[in-house]
Amino acid sequence: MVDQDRTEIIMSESSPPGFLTAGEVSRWTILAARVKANKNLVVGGVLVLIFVFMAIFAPYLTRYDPNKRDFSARFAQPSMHHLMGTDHFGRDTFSRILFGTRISFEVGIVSVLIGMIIGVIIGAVAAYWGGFIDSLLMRMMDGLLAFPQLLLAIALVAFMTTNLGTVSIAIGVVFIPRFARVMRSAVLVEMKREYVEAAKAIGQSGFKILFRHIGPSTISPVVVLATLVFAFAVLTEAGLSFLGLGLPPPNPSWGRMLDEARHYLSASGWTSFFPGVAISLAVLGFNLLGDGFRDFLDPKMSGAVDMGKRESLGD
Amino acid sequence: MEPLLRVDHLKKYFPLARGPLTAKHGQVHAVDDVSFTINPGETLGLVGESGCGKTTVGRCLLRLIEPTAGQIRFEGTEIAGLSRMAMKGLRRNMQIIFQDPFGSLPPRMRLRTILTEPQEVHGVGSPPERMEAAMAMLQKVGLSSEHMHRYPHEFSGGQRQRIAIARALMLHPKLVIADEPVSALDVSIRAQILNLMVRLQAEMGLSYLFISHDLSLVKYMSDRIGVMYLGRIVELAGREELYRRPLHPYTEALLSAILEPKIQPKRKGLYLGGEVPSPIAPPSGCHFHPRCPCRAPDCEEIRPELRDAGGGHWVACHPR
Amino acid sequence: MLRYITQRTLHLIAVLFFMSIIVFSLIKLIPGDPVGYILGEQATAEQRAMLRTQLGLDRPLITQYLEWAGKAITGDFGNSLLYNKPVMDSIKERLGPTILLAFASLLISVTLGIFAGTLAAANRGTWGDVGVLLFSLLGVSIPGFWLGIMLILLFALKLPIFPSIGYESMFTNFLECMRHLTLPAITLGAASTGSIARFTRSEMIEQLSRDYITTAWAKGLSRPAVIFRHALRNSLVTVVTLVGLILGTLLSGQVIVEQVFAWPGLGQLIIAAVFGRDYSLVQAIVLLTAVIFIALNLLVDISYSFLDPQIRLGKKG
Repeated sequence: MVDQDRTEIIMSESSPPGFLTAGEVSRWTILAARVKANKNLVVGGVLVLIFVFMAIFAPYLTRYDPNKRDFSARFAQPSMHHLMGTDHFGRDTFSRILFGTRISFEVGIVSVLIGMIIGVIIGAVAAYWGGFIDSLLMRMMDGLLAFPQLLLAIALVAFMTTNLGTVSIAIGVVFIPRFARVMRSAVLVEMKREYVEAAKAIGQSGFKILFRHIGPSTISPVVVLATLVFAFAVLTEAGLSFLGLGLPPPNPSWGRMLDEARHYLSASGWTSFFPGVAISLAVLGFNLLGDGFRDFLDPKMSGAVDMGKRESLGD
Repeated sequence: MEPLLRVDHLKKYFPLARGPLTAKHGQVHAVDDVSFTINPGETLGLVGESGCGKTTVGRCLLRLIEPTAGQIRFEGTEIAGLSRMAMKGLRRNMQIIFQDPFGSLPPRMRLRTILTEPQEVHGVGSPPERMEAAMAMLQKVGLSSEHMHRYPHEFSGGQRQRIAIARALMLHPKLVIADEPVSALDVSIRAQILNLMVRLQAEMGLSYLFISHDLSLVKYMSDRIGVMYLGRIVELAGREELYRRPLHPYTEALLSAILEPKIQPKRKGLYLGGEVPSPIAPPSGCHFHPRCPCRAPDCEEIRPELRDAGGGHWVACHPR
Repeated sequence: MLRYITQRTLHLIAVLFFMSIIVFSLIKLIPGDPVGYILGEQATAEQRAMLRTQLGLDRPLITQYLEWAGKAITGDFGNSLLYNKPVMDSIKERLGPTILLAFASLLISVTLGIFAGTLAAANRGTWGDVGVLLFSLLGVSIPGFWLGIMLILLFALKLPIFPSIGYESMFTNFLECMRHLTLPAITLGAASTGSIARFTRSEMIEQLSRDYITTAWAKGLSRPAVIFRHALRNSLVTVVTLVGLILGTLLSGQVIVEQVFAWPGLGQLIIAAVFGRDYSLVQAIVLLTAVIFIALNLLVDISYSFLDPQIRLGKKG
């Protein structure tokens, strides 16, 4: 009978989690390599960062007031004076695009937050308590999902005075069931694991279990969904503005710019061109970023070695 | 001496089909009238093949699964009907170590949180005191306390099981249920973990319910052993007594299956045919009768109760 | 099987119920007094009282809901304030153009999408494949209204091939109808084409790696034969799922496309209703669309489970 106790030392401090390497490779190098390998993440990330930059530094990037009308310069072609030309009121298109970025981000952030917070709570509660509560909540979510997305947003915003809050809420509500579903699946998967039973055995409360034990494992799918949903929020806000149901004028929402421009197509094609490009690139950026996150956060592709598999080493 | 734990006629049946519109198509008789006691400081081994219900028994004791019927008395207090609050208080005295060292630790929690959590839940000590206690326990199980900031996946299987043991002991329980604690570990590591458990038992005055399908392990660890078959205890005896004088044919068969590198007269082997029947429709009377070589007409009709065969040796078999 | 149908039906009823509650409560979103909002400042007290009774707002909530739901099932949504006739009549007028546009876009996106996806899968890794993937990504990102406007700019204004707006019934003048239909249908179908192409591509890739394809090659079949006759047939089972995928996009997108092209369908109607504060009309269209959406999704689900045993047999063969 072997009766020895040995104190195990695992690895040197500078190694990344779960990695036993010959040399001293820092965890940041490996992370950077993984990011570079993921094209979606890179392209999407760059696009999004560009727009973030535009939104934050809008006033410094242009000398024109986006709402200032100048009737002497209507429908100007893109030039050194007006990088993207002017619209039917003589307003500088480039400035309007810049400030429009802010609107897209504001609505995007608020609507995604609303959808995410409410949806995640509903999904977690449904998954953890199961049974009747689960059925009830999920049927309610199905009720919301019964509407085509844009139509639901239109219906919600139709009779409210439109401002940042109402538009964001209308779009956010559309997202709630999607977040609920994703969260519910993630929680259900985790609940089958034994550590949840272990936490119950200690006497931990359900709420704390959800929050501390299960929660961190559900972050990845929620983040991926949030990014993809952000793309959709931008698109929907543009759509609502296009239909006249978004933020009221003279807010330079890209969608509204398109709506105004299309009545003057014969006068200038440029005024309808640039807002559309902006919307497309922003949506594209977030879509790519979301796809990139999905691949990046997939544990199978993370490359880290689970130490548990290497029984004989260090034990 | 009052037993630490007393289980009487414990039953757990699982309904088969789910859903409000579906009829129940029968039940799984996972635990079918099980009774035993555990005394302070002793280790009771519970052995049987997979599906015999031993894991369910363990879970029922902690009410991680709610028993269908029966009484469970811990230090005289009846557990089965307790409220959540009262049960929480009792949890300090009964803890569990799971089979899977990978699944039983929360993947995104650092060691220091995992180990301080039990005391935090029950409001024991201040945060620095809890941390100290955690570090002390970690060292007690043979790990260095400088790894407190690491995540479970950074440790090997044996180390994780040590962590699981440490976690279970943080509240200084009186009874620890060990559900196949070494079955998922490499054979070379098993002895270490088992010896650790033995040492801790002596140091901290623990009682164990040691559940395993491996009779040799159970023999090593236990003072008394209960043999389970298809939801019932068929024999219950002290370790040496069971080994030398198995009274139930199933126990004999289990013992025959152990390979021992000893130069001794081989025991007369009893080898079973057939497979374990399904717990959904278990055989009538004595569950074992279809496979039993000494089957009597009574065995098919009447269920044998555990009867005293002298010297703390109980067996559920009709006298032959 | 019976159990499945019962479960499905109960589920359906629950969903319809919650959906109707949502539609019903839309009126509660109106800040302040809904009657004042709908009728405007100039309304007299009598008019308000009349509308209030008409909408049933003077009765307890549950009664309101039951009455409204009861009438809705029979198709009675009251009168449209905007058009001064029963709501259902306004809706019925618009059904034709709506269905025409929806169907045309569906046709375009399904055929084009499957074709593109198949070619991409067959030529995996080439520029064509990358092109298809890029195209589908763009399709999802480019807003429909912008695409529509750009198409009008190019193909109606700069090159006067198609009319920019308007509609012509197919029964009066088929050619003109097609001319008017082209740009809107392409616009509406664009996003869906991308999704379908992507989906078909991944399905086809999976099929093409199967053993029976290798057998077909070994038999000496020509490339088109292998791809189209064998692999595609098995992938077609998923066409049903594809349709389910893009349903939502089509129904939503239609509102926008109809605005851009002044297409007289339900999409245009609902926008007019919103701006005209014609609450009953808005409610009716939303409800109807949701019901159709649920119904179509249900059809997709049912037909998928019908095809399931076929898939099972196919995979074993």
